[in-house]
Amino acid sequence: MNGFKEKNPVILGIETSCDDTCAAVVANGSSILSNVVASQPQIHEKYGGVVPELASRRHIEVIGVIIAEAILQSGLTLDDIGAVSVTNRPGLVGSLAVGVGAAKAIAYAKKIPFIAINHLKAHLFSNMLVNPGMGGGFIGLIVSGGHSSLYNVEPDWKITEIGRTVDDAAGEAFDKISRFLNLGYPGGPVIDRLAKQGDPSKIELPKPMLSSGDFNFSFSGLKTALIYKTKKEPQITNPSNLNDLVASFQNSIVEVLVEKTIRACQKFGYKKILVSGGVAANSRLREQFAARAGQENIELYIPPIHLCMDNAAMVACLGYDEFIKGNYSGLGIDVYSKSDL
Amino acid sequence: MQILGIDSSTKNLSVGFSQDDARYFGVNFSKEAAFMVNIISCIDNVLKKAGKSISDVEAFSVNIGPGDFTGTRIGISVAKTLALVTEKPAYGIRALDACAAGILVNSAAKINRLLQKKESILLLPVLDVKRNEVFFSIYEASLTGGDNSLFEHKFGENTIFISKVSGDHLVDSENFADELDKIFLSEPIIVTVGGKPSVFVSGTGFLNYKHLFKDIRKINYDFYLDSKSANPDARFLNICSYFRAACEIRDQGLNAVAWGQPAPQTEKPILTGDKNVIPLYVRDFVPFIKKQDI
Repeated sequence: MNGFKEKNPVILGIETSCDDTCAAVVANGSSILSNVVASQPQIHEKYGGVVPELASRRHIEVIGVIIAEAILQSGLTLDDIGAVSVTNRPGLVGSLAVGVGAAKAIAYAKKIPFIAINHLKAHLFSNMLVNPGMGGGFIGLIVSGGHSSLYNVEPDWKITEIGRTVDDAAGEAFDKISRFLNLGYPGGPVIDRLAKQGDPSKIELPKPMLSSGDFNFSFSGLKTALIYKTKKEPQITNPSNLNDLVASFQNSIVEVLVEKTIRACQKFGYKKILVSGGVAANSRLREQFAARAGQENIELYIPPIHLCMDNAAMVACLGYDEFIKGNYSGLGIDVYSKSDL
Repeated sequence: MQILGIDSSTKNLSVGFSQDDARYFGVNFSKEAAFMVNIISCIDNVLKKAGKSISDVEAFSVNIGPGDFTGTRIGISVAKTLALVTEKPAYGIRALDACAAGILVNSAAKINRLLQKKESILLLPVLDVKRNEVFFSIYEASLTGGDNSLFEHKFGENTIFISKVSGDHLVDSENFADELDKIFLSEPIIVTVGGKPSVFVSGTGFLNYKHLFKDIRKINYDFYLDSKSANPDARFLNICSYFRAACEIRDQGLNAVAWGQPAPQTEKPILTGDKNVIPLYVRDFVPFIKKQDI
């Protein structure tokens, strides 16, 4: 295993932590040569959320094709790959196992370094793909179907979680309310679309934990409040009111996320915020963050939508950082459902 | 043809490298739930034992189940990716076929002796597939191969061929003996050349449901329980894979090669294996949804 550092540092990234099978080839840490994502929404649609066993069944069917496609689209061959990086934590164990098994096989057969990656740290790194060399010293918000957490990313990239959801993740709340209102799956994009035609101030819903004094979130109570309200006032789910209802619901989530992130940024004395994760695709969230960050004179970084969602380019991007530091993993590493940064 | 096999479909991880039917280098690892940690080092160990490297492997074989969900998928993911990277074929072998190969290898002397006496020999691997159900098929041993042969095994001067002679059956373990009796009567499986058949049985079904072997004694055949073949072994996968590779070579009009010989070199790779190895499940997975869980 000598001589690989002299190779062109092209990283193959693999990501299978939830329901997307992803592979990407990234050169020099930020130049995306390919970024292939196979999503499975139609598989989980009728259950209104990701079913782990079904996700895993799909991963094993497509993993080989997705890796081969990422290599093909990159215009390179496997011999050009300098290292392979893969998400091994946190995530669905049965899903992670498929990607990690494949990544280990590649690293072993090609005798190249193997780098196991934390999915959440990869999300925080995703912006490096558009702003290479972005320094630390910011508050990071990762908001998706599985996570809603705030991180203090110090100037030297020491990362500390300062808050997280105590129950549902924001994306999970979108999915559950979408299912409750029979709007379809995944819930985020549907609610985002309908909310554009709605008035977010018409129906009053709580803004949970906005004044809790810490940086945690809670979205389960908001969900219950909405359900309770529809029982008491069934007319709010009528077609004429539905857009207002989902706009209010979305607004409650967005306001709490935005305000708490801004407060964290001020408390820790930073001037930068980074937002990533699937919910960062929400248009209201993007608008509100842009508006509030502007008022508070804070620089806002939200990667393009395809890099906010789960993808393997961010895994390769973080993999590159570990690669140049020589932080390789052993081929005996396991997968973990939970992992803090 | 040198084959590397991976079986992670049960609690026992088995990895093995076969130079031919007899020259086999394997490791078996029975620590639960540590496949992800041990699989690559097991592969590396067997290759070192054999004095080979991964680039010497001409084909990969892997147990596709039915078996433990995550374990089976780890083996498949590793095997098919190794095949992709080294540009060699991967063969997905059904757990029942692998178990039948195990029965053949472990009882070869007795099977050979009975075949010499022109008796009918059946192999009956039975897997425990949970929910109190068992999954099985019936195989027949003979001294002459045919188009439907699945694999072969040499014993002394003879080659014993195995073909599958029934469909796959999923039954409640309590009804196993009754169902088996019906299948023996209804499916046109048995060519009784002389007397009643001898049936060699094995598999996790017999291991985990002790009553099965007692239950089937009411059927008027001679049953032999092989307890050694219940735990999967990569050697059995390799036996099945070799035969499939040999068939691919033969189907392309090329001369069959003995297992110990390298596969013929042609301009285009001659062996394709399975295009995409995926697990075999006995049931659809139906998620359980809590009523209140919206």
